[in-house]
Amino acid sequence: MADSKLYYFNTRGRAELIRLLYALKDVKFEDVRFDDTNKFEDFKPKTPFGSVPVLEVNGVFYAQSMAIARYVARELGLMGSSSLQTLKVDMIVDAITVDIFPLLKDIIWGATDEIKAAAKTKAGEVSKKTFTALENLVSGDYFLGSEVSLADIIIFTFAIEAMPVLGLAIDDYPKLAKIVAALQENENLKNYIANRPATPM
Amino acid sequence: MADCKLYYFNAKARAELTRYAYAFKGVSYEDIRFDDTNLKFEEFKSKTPFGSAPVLEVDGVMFAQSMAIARYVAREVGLNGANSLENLKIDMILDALYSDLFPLIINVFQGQTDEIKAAAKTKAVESIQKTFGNLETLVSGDYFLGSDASLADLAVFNLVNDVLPLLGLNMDEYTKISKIVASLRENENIKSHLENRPKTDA
Repeated sequence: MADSKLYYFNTRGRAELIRLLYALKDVKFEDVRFDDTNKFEDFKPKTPFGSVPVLEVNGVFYAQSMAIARYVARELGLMGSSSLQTLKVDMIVDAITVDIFPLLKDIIWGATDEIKAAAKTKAGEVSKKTFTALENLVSGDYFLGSEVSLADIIIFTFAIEAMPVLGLAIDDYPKLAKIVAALQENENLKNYIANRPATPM
Repeated sequence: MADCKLYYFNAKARAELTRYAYAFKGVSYEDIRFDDTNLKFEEFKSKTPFGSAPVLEVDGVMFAQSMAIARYVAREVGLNGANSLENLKIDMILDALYSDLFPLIINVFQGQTDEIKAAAKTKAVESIQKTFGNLETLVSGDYFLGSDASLADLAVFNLVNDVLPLLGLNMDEYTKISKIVASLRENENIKSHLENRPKTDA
């Protein structure tokens, strides 16, 4: 895999999923974070859509956090071993990123307390429904059986970053909780999480 | 590829990209649409992974999520690029259209007051123009990937042909994208699909 450069702010945000994938498989990449000398505003015109994260591969810039996550997962063998397994992974990832993630924004950045509360209620409802369904999709130790995939990592990040905000507990979903526990015990991830820059988000 | 069954409402909306993928490559599948008599969504719902549609049934197993399905079908029919980086380019374009723009467009129609709808429309149009300006620079020859059409081209066709007109938008000022749309419109398989598909508002 070519040496890739990931460009993002010094936060976890939309880049952390990608960083976790590299960490899980202990594969090196350049983790570039904007600061007062290396500014996002200067970098922005070089990006495909004026947004970050961006992954630079062989001198070409690629945007969209989930497209990048899927590419990196593919390169690292985390998208399943067949087209149907990849479909299963994609379906689970989308259930989180398409159906639930957008609701989280309003909880944190909603214009009024009312909007924030309504968003939290809705997100909670959708999450419960989704997680009940996801519990039935676990096929052994992980979603695909014995093989970890992007689907497991997204549950892991969701459980740690988002569930507290929603007031939900992963333990209500035993198979999903087992996946999260297994990834929490993973040496590579433990190491990475212990040593990554500490940022509020 | 096993014969697949695509289940959705009688609408273009979130299923049409997958239908375009099958049509463009001339691959057959069962295009099942819910109705009030033979197949009610409310009765079918419990068989789906998340109680949602579209759903693709492959060898008796149901898979959900419209974009996951579209990507699978693209892989199977050969619309996913020739390698992992082309796949990434396609995914980036799909996400710009369906993750970023689609929700803004939906807000225009679901707004609860005329005021909210108008504000949503202004925001959507601004984002659409910014995104299409950027997409224009990603066209690499006849299509996004060069000489061969991919799911990314069908996606932009779906937006320009089916969705943006609902906002009164045409994208003629984007010349490379317009060229892609025109080529696909002239493609025999797409022409046939456009002529024969059920007429629906959205």
